[in-house]
Order: sequence, then C-alpha cells, then structure tokens
Amino acid sequence: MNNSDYFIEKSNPTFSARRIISVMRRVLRQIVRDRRTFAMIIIMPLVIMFIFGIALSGEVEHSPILIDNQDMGFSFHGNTTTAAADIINTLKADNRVDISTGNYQKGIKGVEDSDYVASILFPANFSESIINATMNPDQKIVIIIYLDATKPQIKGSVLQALQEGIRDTFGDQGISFDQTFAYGGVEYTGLETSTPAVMGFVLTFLALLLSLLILIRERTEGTQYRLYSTPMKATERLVGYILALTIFALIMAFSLLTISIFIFQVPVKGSLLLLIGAAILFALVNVTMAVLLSNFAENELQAVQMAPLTALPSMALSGLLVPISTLPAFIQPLSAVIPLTYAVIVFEGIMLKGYGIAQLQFEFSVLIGIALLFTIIAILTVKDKQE
Amino acid sequence: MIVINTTINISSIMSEVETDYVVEIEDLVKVYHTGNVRALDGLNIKIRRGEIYAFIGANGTGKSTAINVMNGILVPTSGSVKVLGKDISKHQQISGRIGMAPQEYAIYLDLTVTENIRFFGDVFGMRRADIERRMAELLDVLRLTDKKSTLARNLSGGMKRRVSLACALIHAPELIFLDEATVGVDPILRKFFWNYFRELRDQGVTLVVTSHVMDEAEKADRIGLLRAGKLIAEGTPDELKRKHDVDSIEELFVLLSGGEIDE
Repeated sequence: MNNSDYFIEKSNPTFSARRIISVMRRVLRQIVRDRRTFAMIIIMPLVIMFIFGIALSGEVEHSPILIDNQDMGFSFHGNTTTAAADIINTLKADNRVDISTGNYQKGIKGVEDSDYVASILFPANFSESIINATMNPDQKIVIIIYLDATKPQIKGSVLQALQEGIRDTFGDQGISFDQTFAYGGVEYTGLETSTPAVMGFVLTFLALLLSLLILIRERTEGTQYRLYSTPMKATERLVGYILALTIFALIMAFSLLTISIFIFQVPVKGSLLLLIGAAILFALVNVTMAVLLSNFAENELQAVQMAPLTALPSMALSGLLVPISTLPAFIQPLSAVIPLTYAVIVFEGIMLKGYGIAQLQFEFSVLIGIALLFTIIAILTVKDKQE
Repeated sequence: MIVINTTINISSIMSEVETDYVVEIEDLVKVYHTGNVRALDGLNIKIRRGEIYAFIGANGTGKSTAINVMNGILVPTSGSVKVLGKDISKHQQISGRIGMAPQEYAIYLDLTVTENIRFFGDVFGMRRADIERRMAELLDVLRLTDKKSTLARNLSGGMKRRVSLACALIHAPELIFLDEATVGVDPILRKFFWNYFRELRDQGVTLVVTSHVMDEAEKADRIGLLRAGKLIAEGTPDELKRKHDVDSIEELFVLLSGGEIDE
C-alpha cells in the first residue's frame, strides 16, 4: 500500500457538510439497527396513545344515586305538572346513573358508606317553583344534592346527567340550561381534547430520552474520544446528530398523528401542514435540548435520570395535565419558560380550535427561539477534547 | 485545485521543513481534574519518523495518557507537545495525517464492518473510490473480508480489535497511535500484525504503540519505559538489555517498573 495514493484533507479549516452528513447517516443507521430503540420510536407513541385513548375516552357509567322525590306536583290552569317525576323518568334512561329511590338522609349515609355517589332531594315545591320560574325570573329552583366529589369524573358525569335530564325534560318550556360550545360548536371527547397534549408529551419524553441515550452511546463506547483525534469537529458531530434525531422525532410525531387521526378519529380543524410544521419544530426543540444535556451527562444512568427531571416538570407545569390558570400564582411564571407550554397551545390551537399561523405567531416564535438558544448553548458547551 | 493542495506525498513532506521527529515532547505534565491525578509528570520524548516506538509500563503509569495527548484527544496541562511539526493546540491541522486505535474498541456496534470503516473514511474526507480500494486492502490484510457485512456487535473481541485497526488505518496516516491494539488477537494473527506494522514502517510510517505483552514490545524499534508519569528508560530492545544486563524486556520491566507486571 502506498500512502501517496490516497487523497486526504490535509488541513481542516472549514465546516464540512460531508462530515455532518456522514454522522447523520450513521446515526440513522444505528437507530434502525438497534431494534429496541427503533421499536420504542414506533411502538411507544402507539402504546401511549392507546393508553390515553382508553383512559380518557370512556365515560363514567352506572354511578349509583339515590333520589328522594318529595315533589307534590303543581296544578296550573288545569294542567298538573309533576316535574321531578318527569326528570327521574328521563334519568332512568340514562346509563350514566343507576337510580334508587328512598329517603334523602338514608342516601347521605349511603354516600358516606360509598354505596351511592349522590343523594338527591327534590323538595315539595319543586314543580311549583318551576312553573313560577316561567313567569318570575327571580324564582329559585332548588334541588338538594349530597355528592361524593372525591372523584371529579364521577362527580362531573352525575351532575351532567342531572343537568341534561332537566334540560331534556323542560328544555322547550323555558328553563334554559342551554350550553353553547365554542370553536364552531364542537364538543370534544376526553381523548380528542387530550391528543394535542399527548403529542407534546410523547415528543418531550421520548424524543428527549431516546436522543440522550443515542448521544451518550457515542461516549460510553469510546467512539467520541476516537473522533476527537480525527478532523471531525464537535459542532459537525452535533449538527449531524440534530439532523438524524429530528428525523426520528418526526417519525414519532407522524405515527402519533396517524393513530390519532385514523384510529381515534381525532379531528384536525386547522391545517394539517401547519400541524406537521409545528411537530417538526417541537421535535427540534427537544432534540436540541437532548444534545445540550448530553454535553453534561457522562453515562447512560445520568442521561436516564436527566430525562424525567426535565420532562416531569414540563408535564406538570405546561398545562398538559392541569390548566395553567389553576396552578398557584407563584408557579405560573415557570410555565412561561417551559417549551411544552407553547407546544400544547400550538397543538391544541391547530387541532381543536382551527387556529392558523396568525393566531399562533407568538408561540411559534418562542419555540423557534428556544431551539436556536439550545443549539447555540450546545455548540458553546460541546467538547472537542477531553480536559 | 484543492486536490493539488492537499494530496499527501510522504517523500515531499519529508523534504519539507519538518524535522525528522514526528513527536517532540518536552516537560509534559498532565493532571486529571477528576481525582486530581498527576498522570504525566514531566515527560520528555522524541519519536523519529519511520520507527516503531513502544511504550511499556505498569498500570496507571501514563501510557494511554501520553498517547492521547499526542493524538489530540487530551489537553496537556503544561509542557510542549509538537506532533508532525505542529503544536498540538493546532491539532486540527494535522488530524488528517494521524491514525488512532484507542484501548477500547471504539467502533459502532450497530454498524457492519464496512459501514464502520466507510464512516471513518468519510470523516477523513477521502474520495469514495479511495475508501473502497483502501478498505478492500485492509479487509484482506486484517482477515476481515468474510466478515465485512457482519454487525460489529456480533464479532469476537479480536475481530472488533481488527475493525478498530482498519478504522485507524483507512486514510493511510503517516503517524499511527495504537493503544493496546493487539489485545484479544491470537498469537498467529498478532505475528501477522507485526509484520504488517513493519511493512508500514518501511514505507516511512511511524507507529507509536503501547503494549503489555513484553515479547511484543521487543519487536519495536525503540522502547520507552514509563513509571509514575516519567520516562525512566529508553532505547532499542538490545541497548536496554545490554545496559541493564537482562536477558529480556520482561526482566527489564520487572527490574525497573516497580516489580509489578501489567496484567
């Protein structure tokens, strides 16, 4: 072998697209070859989606309630109204609740003993007050409810059943429980409402964790140190990784969107293209965050610990689990610095509210800014050599 | 234009201003911040072009540290390190002419043999056709041709070692660092390796190796024995044996390195 036969870049002053692409191709290959990681990319979004789907799509059914009907009825111009009885009849057809009748006080004890979810008393003048209410707006209609409120979903479904029972019975007689749904009169199921947030979550958690693990492997397997001795610049390696990992974060986002749209029939009111753009952007945010964190993680264990450390506060404070407005006031400013906050707004806006780029300009700018910031800090902190 | 500018030609480099020394180290100190370990403590070494230089020494005497400073992986704490005529702080200017096989296999386990080698060919900016040609030669020399499509993960330790070597040699470097490069390689193949190393040397390539196998070290042109981060003996195997009145380098090692033979 004669050395002079070979062309080698002798000096190395510039940024080399070829080295970046070689890293990108290599990382893509590594991920595809590593079955566990690849399976995680494809299957995890599916699994998470299904879990959320099942957990959130089911309505609460057959909550036992006791009703004490003391309503005497009311005769007016020869028409006798038995309002409570009519409502109870409507409720009997509603499978969200199982109705027993009995004494209100006994019902309270039943709620305390977990035999009933609610004890409901229709007072003697119930029909009368309903009729009066049609003529006198100040007339109060009272139903007395003793309710187990420890489980919000159950509480919600019972109250909703009752409300709808009243509306369905008297809806056309002037008692208005009319609800108007915003954003084009669409009412979403739990799953539909949560899909944008789940997308944000999956991208945050999986993209971050997977990226970290893949990045750290370079260090634990010793190849990173080997690369220190070559013309490969740390920034080239970094950009190569960002490109490769973003492609995979995208695959995740796509599989998630596909499942949501085609299996769970979650509607996308806004532009699908914009949604894909938002997914790319948010994937980039998480990948760059992983690249940044990987500069500080020495081994897989540290990386695995870092991921939840960043992902969990994100989940709690981003409006993903609870609306930001319900958080204590002193914590709310923290939400403003969490990327997921903006991603949730963007995903929800596009998918559920049909927002376009005009309404989401601010959030998009923030996400772009964060991705840039992470990339810059990552480039500034990445090592070319070992100290 | 770039091609003309950057084609390496050993004979032309040798006639350039560069000295005959490919490595010149003066008073090199390397302190690891983690653990505050003084791995190298005033090392002075000159390595000539076209020789095989072997570092020997017990565990923790600084062999790997010395090699990793020379190939630009580690930042020296103090002292002067010149490699291929350039200060090591300008490592990027010479990195394309250096080959390095670290102590770990340091190859990508999820890539095949050829994918690993091609990746490093890309890193060194080689032309595709050159990569393929050079790779075919290396696979043949290192007896890897049958395994070229196997994932590195599924190779034996000795084979991984050979892939690592191929990655270090793909760009035909003029200066090669091999840190325990023959660990896990069977004796027959090891002999073959050394013949190959000598062949490279005869072409003007310089090899700097560390070894814990003393009869292997004896095949080097010169040996440097390290103890506590300092060079305590240096010379050709024959010079060293004569000077210290021993029959083998192994005896010399036991005599000078503090008695403990590196496992």
